[in-house]
Amino acid sequence: MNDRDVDPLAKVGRQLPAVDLDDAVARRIAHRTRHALGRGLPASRFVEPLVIAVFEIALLGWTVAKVVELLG
Amino acid sequence: MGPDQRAWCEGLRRGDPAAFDAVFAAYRRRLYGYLVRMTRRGDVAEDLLQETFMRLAQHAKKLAEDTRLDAWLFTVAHRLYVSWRRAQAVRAQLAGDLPRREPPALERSPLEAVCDSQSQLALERGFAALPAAYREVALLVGVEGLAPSEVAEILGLRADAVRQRLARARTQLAELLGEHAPPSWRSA
Repeated sequence: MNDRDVDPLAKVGRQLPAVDLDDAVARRIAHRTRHALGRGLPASRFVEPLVIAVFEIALLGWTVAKVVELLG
Repeated sequence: MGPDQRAWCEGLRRGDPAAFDAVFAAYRRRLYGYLVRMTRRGDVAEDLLQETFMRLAQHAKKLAEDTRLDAWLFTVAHRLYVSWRRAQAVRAQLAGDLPRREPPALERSPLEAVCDSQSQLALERGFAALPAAYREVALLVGVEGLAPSEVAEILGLRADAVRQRLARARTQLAELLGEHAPPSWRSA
């Protein structure tokens, strides 16, 4: 670890003013996010990759069938 | 890793709302400070903060017992910031403009409104004027007190790359601060 840069930056970093978000906003964010606790990822997150995967597999199958048809 | 973090991790894994509230209270200021200084926009920082805690809530059950929550949360916040920045660049290109990598650093920002002295204002402006890559390591190490090795993990960089960025951040900050730089910096 290079304290030569870490310590001076920490010294000036402590002088930066504290920033915080508005209490009402913080409460709103906490309320919204707390509801997602333990629910896992939303189902909608899997829909798009699933649709794309089905489309890609169908396209691949169609391509293989066409190639077989041409060769046969 | 402190006893609080271990207890919070256990609580989060159980889906305990009290543990979630404790984590939110403990980290909201730090994460918001990091995000608002990186994005320079309060509204965006709020959105990214919400998404960070949403990810925590969604992944709570999968956390390991010894997860370092500060590093975990800053990693998520960093990734969200990078995604936001990429989206901004794409939007600017689609709009036919040259992608503006950084908002102008010297415009008066909401951050500057909380400064109560000239030296704080100079410091805030100095950090804002740093290139994002240097500003990020300077904030995570200097303000958030994370170790360079932790910052390397958070940013997905090698430790020597973080050290290099730290050294450059310090040099540039000293130049930007001018007379407001700590005396020891000027003599170094």
